[in-house]
Amino acid sequence: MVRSFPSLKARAEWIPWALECIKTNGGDYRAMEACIVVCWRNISQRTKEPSTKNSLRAVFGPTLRHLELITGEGDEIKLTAKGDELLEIYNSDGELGYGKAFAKHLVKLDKERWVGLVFEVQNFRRPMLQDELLDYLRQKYPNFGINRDKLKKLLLHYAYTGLMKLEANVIHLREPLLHSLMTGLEPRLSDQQFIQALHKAYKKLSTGLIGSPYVPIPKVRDEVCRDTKIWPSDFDRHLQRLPKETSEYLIHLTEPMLRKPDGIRIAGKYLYYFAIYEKR
Amino acid sequence: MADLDAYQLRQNPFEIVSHAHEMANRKEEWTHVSKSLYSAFEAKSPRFIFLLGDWGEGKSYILDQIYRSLSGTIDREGRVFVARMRSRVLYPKPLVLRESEPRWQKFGLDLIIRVLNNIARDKWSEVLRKANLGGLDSVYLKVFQGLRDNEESAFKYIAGRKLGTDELKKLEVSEPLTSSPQVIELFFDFLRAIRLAGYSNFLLLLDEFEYITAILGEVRITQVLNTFREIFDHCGYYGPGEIASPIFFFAISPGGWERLKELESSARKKTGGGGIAPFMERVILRDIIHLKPFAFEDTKQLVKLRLEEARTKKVTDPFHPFTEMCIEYVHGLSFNKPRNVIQYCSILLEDALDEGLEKIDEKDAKRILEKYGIYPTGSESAGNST
Repeated sequence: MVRSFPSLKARAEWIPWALECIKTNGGDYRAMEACIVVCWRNISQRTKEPSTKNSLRAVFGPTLRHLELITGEGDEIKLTAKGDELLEIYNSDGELGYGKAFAKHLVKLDKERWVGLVFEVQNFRRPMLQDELLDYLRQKYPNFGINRDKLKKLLLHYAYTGLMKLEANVIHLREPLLHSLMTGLEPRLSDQQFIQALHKAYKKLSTGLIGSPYVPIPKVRDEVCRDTKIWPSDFDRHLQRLPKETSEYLIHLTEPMLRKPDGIRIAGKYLYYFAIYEKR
Repeated sequence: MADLDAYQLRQNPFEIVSHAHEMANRKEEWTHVSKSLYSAFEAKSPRFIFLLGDWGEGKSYILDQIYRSLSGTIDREGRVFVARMRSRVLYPKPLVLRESEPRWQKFGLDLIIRVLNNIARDKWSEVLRKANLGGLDSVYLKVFQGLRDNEESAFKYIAGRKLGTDELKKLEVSEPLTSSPQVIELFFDFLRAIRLAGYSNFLLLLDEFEYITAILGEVRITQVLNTFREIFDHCGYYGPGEIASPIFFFAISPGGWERLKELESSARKKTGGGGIAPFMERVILRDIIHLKPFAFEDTKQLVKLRLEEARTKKVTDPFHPFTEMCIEYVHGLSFNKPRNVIQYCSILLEDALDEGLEKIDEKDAKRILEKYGIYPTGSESAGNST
């Protein structure tokens, strides 16, 4: 098998609805294209209208092909078995279940078809700069046409799954998650273990806070995932169903003032700050 | 609506507009508020105090309680420029930081004009009569004398309205209020005037401070906060006891406070200490008061107190007509916010009365509230994007 470096032009979070458009409009290229344009227009922050001509042909089509989620040309475009499976998971389990399934698929493709980017990062055994990784990959794979944009887009797909965290220009690999993905051994936490981990993380992050007791949820999530080796999606699932008040503690979550990514949605509210109170 | 007497109640006690109700389980926070205020009154120097609390957790209520209590409990000696009755009140309600559509785009001008313009006419007269204005060396002396003597032109002036030549001449001012430095000077002369009347402090209660962090960009937020910082620093030009020390009491949501901290941190990174950092440096950490979310025990206390206020006769069950399970259910829906508890109890009480229920239990609460689209928080949707 010839290896390559994928050019993923569409964002990872857009893939489920693009798959839905293709599935529901199967056999009609124009209808698939129109559906994608409408969805894209609704979520795009660009002032420029998405191009009807290019949306499926040049953006979503190539991305979904690289990801091996569609097959065929023109009116014959349809979802692959994997595309069908991922869409089904998304529709039944939501973004949390989908994120994990998509991560498994991405790692498998990376290992078998691409340059094994995630394993290259793992080999460094430390957080690394994107430019440093780019230089390394260019040297190792001089004929793969790897550039900054292509690298960043693949890294963003990994970040979406939670396997990597991108902070400014620095790449952090969540090793335990990769390990559990590769071995199929996923840690399971009881509610009690989760609460303990939550308390421990909050105590660590809130030490020294005066006045306001709130800590951003992404920091708590990251700390708990590091400690317990669970996936970010499992953290969210645990936190969503956890009783927010018992005889011992009260968990309080509150909204951000401005739009901020990586919070959590509970009962229709988008929440970003987190605090635990011991009962009075 | 049927007669609430069936529940031994004079009226529905669950209304959210009035704050004239007994405080439920906020002892710790209230002690902190009192300590911060008392310390500020004693220090006789400017102060910024922050009250942090989520929407519906009772910030406006606490501000109103401060207002009421200053009539006696905290400020026994009447040193703080506040008054107890509406007609004589400095601010009929805690001042919002910015009106939805402010008349003036200059923040300092807008704020101070509204502060001065909110003082009732008889309060101006009462206070300024106590002051020996002869001892006030100010370009606005005639304005203060006009306010004392209830002259229309003086009130027009502090409202920032246009004045005729004769009126300007009478007040011995050259132009109407149009700039922030001009009103800040007027504000400090006002602080000197009320000091002469015996007030050592001037307390300004500012509600919904998070509003500025939600609608303004970094540059405008910095301008707003620098106006307060300028007033704070300007106090240093006056000798001890020369002015009534301004104390600014801000109520803000946790999200708003975190936004200020982020702006402070980014200002330090970018400029090493510019932007809003100088304002934040003037906030003493012990003057940050945090309203805790309501626990179940707090909710029970709140419901009990509200019901007690409206009882027509003594009852054995303090929660009647609610069962304790019903209150627990309401608490579970409330996001630990007293405002939600009050609203949900109000709905339950009125619907139960219409339905002729003798008691309101958990099942009734679930059925009635779901009718209004209020569901338990168990059915959460997944997703981690805004």
